[in-house]
Amino acid sequence: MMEKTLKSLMAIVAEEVGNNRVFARKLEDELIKQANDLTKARELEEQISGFNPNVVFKESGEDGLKQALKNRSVAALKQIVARHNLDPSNQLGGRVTRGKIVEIILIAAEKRAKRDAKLFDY
Amino acid sequence: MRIVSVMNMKGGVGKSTSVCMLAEALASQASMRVLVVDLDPQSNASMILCGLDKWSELRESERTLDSYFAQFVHGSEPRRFHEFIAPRVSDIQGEPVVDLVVATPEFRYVERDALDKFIRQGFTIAAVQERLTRLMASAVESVASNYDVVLFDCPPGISLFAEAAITMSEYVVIPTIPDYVSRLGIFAFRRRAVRSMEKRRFTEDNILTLITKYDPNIVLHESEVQSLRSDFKTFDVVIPQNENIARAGEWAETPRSFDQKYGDAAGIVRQFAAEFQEKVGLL
Ligand SMILES: Nc1ncnc2c1ncn2[C@@H]1O[C@H](COP(=O)(O)OP(=O)(O)OP(=O)(O)O)[C@@H](O)[C@H]1O
Ligand SMILES: [Mg+2]
Repeated sequence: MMEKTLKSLMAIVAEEVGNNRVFARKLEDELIKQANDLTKARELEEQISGFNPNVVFKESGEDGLKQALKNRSVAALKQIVARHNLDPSNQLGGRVTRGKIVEIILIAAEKRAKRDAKLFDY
Repeated sequence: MRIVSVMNMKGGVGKSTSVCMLAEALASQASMRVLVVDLDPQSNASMILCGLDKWSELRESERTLDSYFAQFVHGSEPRRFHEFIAPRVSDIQGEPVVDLVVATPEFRYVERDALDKFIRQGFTIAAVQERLTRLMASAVESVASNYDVVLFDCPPGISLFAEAAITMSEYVVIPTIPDYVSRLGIFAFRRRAVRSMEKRRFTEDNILTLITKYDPNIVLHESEVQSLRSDFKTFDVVIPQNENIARAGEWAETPRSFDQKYGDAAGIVRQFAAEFQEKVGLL
């Protein structure tokens, strides 16, 4: 049923693209925009997923974490903070600079490592 | 034969559920002979594996773990450990070898009475502990040749019997929910397990963390999974929060296939069992 509906809709769209230049251009622009958005979202996700500042700090220390944060966009850093709950009291607030966000991540990861070290001694 | 304890200081993390699905997968999917020993007065693993009616019947006929130990505490007519084992209790078709020693709520009194009696006789707590451990070890030893693996389902917290189980175990599996509060539970308990392992010249590698009740919609779960993996030796397989796993807790009168029972979680449960076999050297 769905397949049939889509087929007939696509046939109408294809016919209109053939007859209507303005419509064709509009459609093209929209497709490009969608593809761009998708690429951006994927790139962002690549910078975030599989990366855990707490783990990196424990494994390679402050310098290692600094290094790992370097090539990530501010948008990615923001998401990283959110995913790993690194700013539970929202100290970042509305105005977010790269320096500030990196600082928050470093502090949180260090706190976490220290706390875990104590837990190992529970 | 391998002896494995499933335990965590923390309650409700999926210890009993893990024991039962592991036992059923090993027995029905890998033809292993499994004995489950329920050490928890809550009796959850017992009821999950053999159903309420069978459990009541065993309780009435005093074929329970507390009756077994009561013989030594109260000095009644001794019966051998194998008489306390309920054979092939699972509701999975084909009568897989999932044998069970059930616990009952009375189990907590046995521990209390043992402490009371032996301390009156001048034993220290450590000596009582040692005595219970020895009793349990010889009980398991007496049936060892009938099984490929013995699984202990431990109560939350630490009890004398749970201590005995750690002392007897070659491997300890610690189920944990990937969140902060559960993280505290692992740390609290691991130290103890590590010490016991090291005394017997095992290493921390014999302590395996199992991530349970994973919910992909909780962003923090993923973060915590990464941390757990970097801190501890974990199973690759992650047990999701899953409707069919929760449903499998209710014993069915009419036997069913493994896939019917575990539904869309059957694959994961099988994977868990396969990885378990590999990790504890049962292949
Ligand atoms: N993967 C899962 N998906 C859905 N529900 C689950 C899952 N694992 C466990 N549960 C449910 O969570 C509850 C606690 O599980 P379970 O009794 O196995 O934990 P436990 O650690 O043995 O608890 P206790 O500390 O009380 O012995 C039960 O109601 C069980 O059905
Ligand atoms: Mg339990």
